[in-house]
Amino acid sequence: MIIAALVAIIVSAMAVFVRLVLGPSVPDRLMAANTLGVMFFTLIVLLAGVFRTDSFLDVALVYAVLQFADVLIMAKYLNRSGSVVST
Amino acid sequence: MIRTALHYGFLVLGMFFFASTAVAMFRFRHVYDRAHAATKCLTGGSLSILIAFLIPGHSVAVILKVILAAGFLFLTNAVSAHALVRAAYRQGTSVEALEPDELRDEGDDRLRSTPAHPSPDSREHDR
Repeated sequence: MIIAALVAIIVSAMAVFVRLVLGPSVPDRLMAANTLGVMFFTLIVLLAGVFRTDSFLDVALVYAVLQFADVLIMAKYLNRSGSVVST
Repeated sequence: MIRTALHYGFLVLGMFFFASTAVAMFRFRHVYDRAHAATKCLTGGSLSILIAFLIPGHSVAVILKVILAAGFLFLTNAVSAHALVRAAYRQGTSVEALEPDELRDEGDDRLRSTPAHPSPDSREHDR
């Protein structure tokens, strides 16, 4: 059942990755990247249960923190008008 | 028995939420609709799967770490999506999708700088 959840997460992540590639504007891609990050965070937590390795949870925690900082920095960069990013 | 049923139930709920997030990423047309899916469905699915991970029983350190990660995710996912949507609005990304544009008359000239009425001195306020 855990394996089914892993497969479901990976299939959803692949679908979101297609949106990340196709996305017409930059905020679309960033939103898809944020979604991918949360999905992989959940995947890492489930893998900690599959492999019975508790240190994967630390990896997941640091991954969540880094992803949050990453998205906030990119949004701050996009907030400047007249930036190089075209919509 | 009840524990197993809860475990499977939360797993199926999380899988359903993730699948609906993936479908919403395809079917929705604008950034703001996708932000709606990327906050609600994604946070709900992730929290459901984390709860399902906790149900079979673990040590105290694992439970505390997962609860910390879940709380952090619950707080920060909405914040990052809000920041992204604000950046998209200020860049004028598909503003025509917002039919009642409630942010237009807020008196904040820095919002929505590009499309409709580009004031000539808006650039120097932005730094």
